Amino acid sequence: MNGSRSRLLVFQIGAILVLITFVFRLWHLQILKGDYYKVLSEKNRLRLVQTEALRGIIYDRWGRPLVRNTPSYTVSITPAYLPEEEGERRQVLRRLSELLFSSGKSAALASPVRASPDLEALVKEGMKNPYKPIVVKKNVDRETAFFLQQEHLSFPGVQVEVEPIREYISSTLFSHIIGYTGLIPKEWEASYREKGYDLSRDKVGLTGIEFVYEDYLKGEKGQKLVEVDASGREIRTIGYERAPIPGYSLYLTIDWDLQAMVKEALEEGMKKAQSPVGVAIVMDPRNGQILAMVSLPSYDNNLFARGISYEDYSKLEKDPNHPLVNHAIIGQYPTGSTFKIVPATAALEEGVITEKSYLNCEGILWVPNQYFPDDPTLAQPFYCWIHRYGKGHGPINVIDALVHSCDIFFYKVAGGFKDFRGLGLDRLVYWARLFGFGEKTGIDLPGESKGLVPTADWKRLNYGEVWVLGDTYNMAIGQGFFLATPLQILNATAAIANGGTLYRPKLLYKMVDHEGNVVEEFKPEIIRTLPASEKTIALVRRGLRETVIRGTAWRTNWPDIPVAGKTGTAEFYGPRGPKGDLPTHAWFTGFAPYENPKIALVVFLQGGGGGSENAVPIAAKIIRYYFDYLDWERQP
Amino acid sequence: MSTTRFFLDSGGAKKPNWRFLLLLLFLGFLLSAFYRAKLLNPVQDLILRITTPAQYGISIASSFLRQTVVSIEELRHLREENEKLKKELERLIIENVQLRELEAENRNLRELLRFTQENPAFDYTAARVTARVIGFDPSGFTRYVLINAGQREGVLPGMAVVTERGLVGRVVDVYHTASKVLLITDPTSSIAAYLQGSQATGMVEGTPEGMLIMRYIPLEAKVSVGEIALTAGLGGTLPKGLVIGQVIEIERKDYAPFQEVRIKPSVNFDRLELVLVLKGGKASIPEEEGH
Repeated sequence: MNGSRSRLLVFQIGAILVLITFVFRLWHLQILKGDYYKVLSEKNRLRLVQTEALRGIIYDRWGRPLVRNTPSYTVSITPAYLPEEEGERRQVLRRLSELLFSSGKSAALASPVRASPDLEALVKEGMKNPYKPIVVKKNVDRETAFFLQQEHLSFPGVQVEVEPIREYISSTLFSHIIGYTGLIPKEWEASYREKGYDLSRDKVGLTGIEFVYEDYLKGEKGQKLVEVDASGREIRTIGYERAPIPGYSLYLTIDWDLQAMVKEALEEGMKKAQSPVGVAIVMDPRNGQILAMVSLPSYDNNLFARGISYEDYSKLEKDPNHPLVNHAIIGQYPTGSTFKIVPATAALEEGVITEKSYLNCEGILWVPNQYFPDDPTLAQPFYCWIHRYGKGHGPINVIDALVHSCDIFFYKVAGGFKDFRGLGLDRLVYWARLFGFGEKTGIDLPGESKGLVPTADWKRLNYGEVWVLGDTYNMAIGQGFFLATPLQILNATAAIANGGTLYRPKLLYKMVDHEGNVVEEFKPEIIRTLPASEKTIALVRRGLRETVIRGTAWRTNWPDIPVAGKTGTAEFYGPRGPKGDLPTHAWFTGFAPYENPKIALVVFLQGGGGGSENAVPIAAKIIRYYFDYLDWERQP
Repeated sequence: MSTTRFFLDSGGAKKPNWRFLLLLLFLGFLLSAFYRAKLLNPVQDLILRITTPAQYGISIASSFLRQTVVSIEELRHLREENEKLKKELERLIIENVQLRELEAENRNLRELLRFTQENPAFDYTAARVTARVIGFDPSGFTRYVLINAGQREGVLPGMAVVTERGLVGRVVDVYHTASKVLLITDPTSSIAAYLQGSQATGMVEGTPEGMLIMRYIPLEAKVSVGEIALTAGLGGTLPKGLVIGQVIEIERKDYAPFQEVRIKPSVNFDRLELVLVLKGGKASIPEEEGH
């Protein structure tokens, strides 16, 4: 009796002690550290998550969309939500596998993670982190995605996620202009991390307009407050702290119809001339707006938007004609006679010649050897193209030299001959630079080339040789070391067309926010005004007009549209023809109408033979189309 | 109060004044005896003669009083009657309501019947909505109804539940004699659908406000307000061609991945009483115009 009593007492005391400890602990947790734990638990439960902003889209100048944010459907499995029971789980996985990977479904668009992955193995692997979704298949077709979403109750643990991906409409037609988006490349990571990008997920413009206007297109991410459970998975959205703001949309200066037509004409012309690479650009010479820009071969930028396979990429990479390169701004070529507008303008302006100066062309010009000027056997011959036909142009003035593209006239004008003092290298270089050669035009596209305006210093540095008269001669007719991009030639022509102003070529017509308010509008940007008198420019313009009327560009001579222009046939070092002559690029550059030009254009065919035969017909088609169907200023 | 003398001493003694009471009684007895024996007639005469004019006035007053008393009594009567009539009216109203409900149900049934007759290929179970569950689960609001048909009637999960006006929802859980139906207005419900006019396809999902949104409609689809949304089927447990609702608003942005349209459900979810569970049969409903 006594023993049991004392035992009871001990037990009671023990119980009371335990209770006191509990109460104290409770008091400590609730009263003393309550606030601290409250904050902690709130943090645990609520989390701010970034929400993606929709990327702005890109239109042609009339508001026709060139890209869409197309939904792409991804099917994934969250192992934690699969049925507990082995048999049921197997069944879900089997049905899913049949649905996604059976041969019955077209697998053209879909890029399976594996041919037909062993889902059970995937799930087993994923069980280490059961709340992390495992991607089973990307780019699932709409119908399958819809079916899975509709029947989600009978597919526990299977989710369909929708993410917008870029879909380029008429992709190969615009890919060099628009470019594409993709994940941030390794070498850019640091700078993009600084800007607040999520390197694992965010897609950015990698080239083209998508790259140049990335900051405007990307929009502003939002933030939402989500509730998470202990394992960190989102249970539900509590609210939006900040809704995402879609990016700005861009209107390009490009006219879709013209672009399509230019491509068609260029393709046809390339086939005829058997040229592997071609470029055609159309510009408004009054302000620098690019109306069409085609570089062939092209590529499908949708391949990149969806995530290009290694095979596809290396095929494009290894193609000798570089379809990924926009030759209109990156390709650097000898320009041939299209460059002659520069020495013509320079010589007239610098007083080297006047309209009435006649220089003789005998078809061949012997340049005496520097060190043995009296030994004719050491003299170097320079030919005019007409020499092939065993004659020369005879006495010729600047207008006719442009019309017939006389080489010897320009040799003499640029480098001088005997007692006729020409421009000389420095003045030729100076004027070439004024016309925009040797520098980027600054068009809103990445990767533009500078071209090359050679100087004596440059030659010494690169070749260890002295600059000679022959180098100046060659440069005067756009040969030798001189290189330019098709866009540079076009911009120089546009400056002649508009009376001497060099505009910065631009592709951005306007920018609007997601509600359609205009954020930015095109404004012409002048690079420089040529220091040439109206009279000089007028003379060169007349030379180009006469070239069409009675010269090498006669194929664009119509009574209703007065065209002016200049052809070019530029030799380059390639496989020689049957007669041992070098292959040539075909060029044409020009503008129309002659009096108040609305368009200027350039056509370039790599290895395309003669400009007059092969480049002019393409230009003719483009100009005709523009004035017959497009000229929106004449349309009511 | 002096009158308390009858019962109480002014001192408040609780003894009744027996003597006085007895005296009163005796006097009264005497008077009535005299009166009966006509011994009091002369006295009466005298009194009458003196009091007649007063009497007249009193009679007028008294008749008024009497009348009043009568009307009070009548009032009591009327009240009772009123009470009765009210009860009757209530009964009639209830009956009327019941009749109307029966009529509505009848119409409902007729319509359901017509629906079943128009779609003879289906196998149906009619059921009554017995409860609505507006629950709250981690994903937000949920919208279910319970119906009184279950395993016993051959109901299975995934079956479509309709009224004659269109799709109500789908069976999610089945018990012995009841089933849980997830309404199409629930945020977790997605139904593959197409629009009758434009043939645009998409998914109809519920919104937290209890409306319907059709998402994933391609941008190039020419959708118009007023189009009817129908189930697309896609070979699941949902047949093709069940009416879902009508387009009331279109949201289309060039930069958005797809168009979204708001859809007004054709079923009135506030008055859901009788429904049909589609237990299979053929997989589509013939399209009919003029729904």
